[in-house]
Amino acid sequence: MLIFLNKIFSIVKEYILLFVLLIISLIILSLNNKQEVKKIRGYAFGSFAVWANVVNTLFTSSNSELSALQIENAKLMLQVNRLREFALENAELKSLLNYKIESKYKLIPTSIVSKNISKTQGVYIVNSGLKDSVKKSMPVLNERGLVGIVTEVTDNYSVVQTLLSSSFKISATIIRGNVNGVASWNGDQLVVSNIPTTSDINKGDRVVTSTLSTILPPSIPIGLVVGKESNISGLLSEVVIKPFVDVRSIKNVFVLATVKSSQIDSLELNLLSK
Amino acid sequence: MLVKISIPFLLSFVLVAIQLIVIPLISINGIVPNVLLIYLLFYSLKHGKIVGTIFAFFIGFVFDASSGGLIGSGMFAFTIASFVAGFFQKNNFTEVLKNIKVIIMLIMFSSFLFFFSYSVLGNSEAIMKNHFSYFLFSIFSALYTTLFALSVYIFRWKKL
Repeated sequence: MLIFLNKIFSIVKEYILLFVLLIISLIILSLNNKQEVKKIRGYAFGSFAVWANVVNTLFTSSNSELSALQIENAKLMLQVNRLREFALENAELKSLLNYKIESKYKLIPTSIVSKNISKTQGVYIVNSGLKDSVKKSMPVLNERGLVGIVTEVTDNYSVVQTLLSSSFKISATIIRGNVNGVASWNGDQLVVSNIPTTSDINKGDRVVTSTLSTILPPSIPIGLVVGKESNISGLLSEVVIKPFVDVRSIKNVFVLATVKSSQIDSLELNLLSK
Repeated sequence: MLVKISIPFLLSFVLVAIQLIVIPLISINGIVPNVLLIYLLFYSLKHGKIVGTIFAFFIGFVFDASSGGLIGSGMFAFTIASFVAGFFQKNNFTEVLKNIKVIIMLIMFSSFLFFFSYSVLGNSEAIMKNHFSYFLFSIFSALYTTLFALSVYIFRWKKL
């Protein structure tokens, strides 16, 4: 009996090993949101980024004048987009929004040190971290529009989840028809899902971050509407967006140092305490 | 013994860095070859299923953790691809290398498995949409990886 079992084991041991390793991988995959796994990842990407940054600096030369112009360009992009939005609104809303336009954007320039290019995991590591005042959930953009969001931060480096990541979901507004929805990457395209088919949406409409988002500031350009696909029932449709930023080819980005409104915080705290 | 273990690990760390820093520069419409995978496939081809699979599992972890992506997706994909590559192992490694048809088939099939499982597991949605697009992406990525591997292989051909 023992010999028989031994024989079977020697035949299938490779498959048992494969099965065990695959199960361990899947268990670890399901634990990705656990604090312990996040700590391991933070330590690993932090260590890796140190020498990835060294390699990058060897191949790229820094130009301070160019960086300053890029910052200026990104600031102007944000302002232009705000002004474009205001032009579509009535005078009463304009006077209300004028209060917000006075706020200044603080941009933290940063460079991408490594890219994980895949169909569903668009993740970059950038060389700015806690020491540069970068915090989790801050938006990342360039002079054309939104690139992604900071998901993890160490002292000197941060992980950026880009628009091309399936875990990235943001509240978006299609400006002309004032239609709100959630924009996400479906592995192929950036889409705003579950929009009523009757909504007034045309090709070429601009899509920006929504005022409903408590994470991202409003009016950061995301992209243009390039198509609309109805689902089987015909009641809801998916709006396809072409992002303004060519996320795969960028090298330098900015982290928008936004501070979450203390008023929103206090309102959320009041709701929680009830 | 220590050298035998440490050299492949060190080489893999260098390849992880190359994969994440240099290889994105040669991406074509979001499709990139995977140099780390090529190395792991040849490692598995030389050392067999068991050693190759365990090695790929640990290197997959290093890749996931260093890239900032989901830990587990690379581990799964590298492990399964290396296991398949191990099927082609023979006692005489040079003999296997000389059979170019086997090499092409091995890299194509294993890298297709890698790219498909890595993309599917990296998707946060429970239901996978656009099955055909995932399939196409994996085919093109496998082709690019095979071409990349063959260019290195042909360059080294004279030494075999």
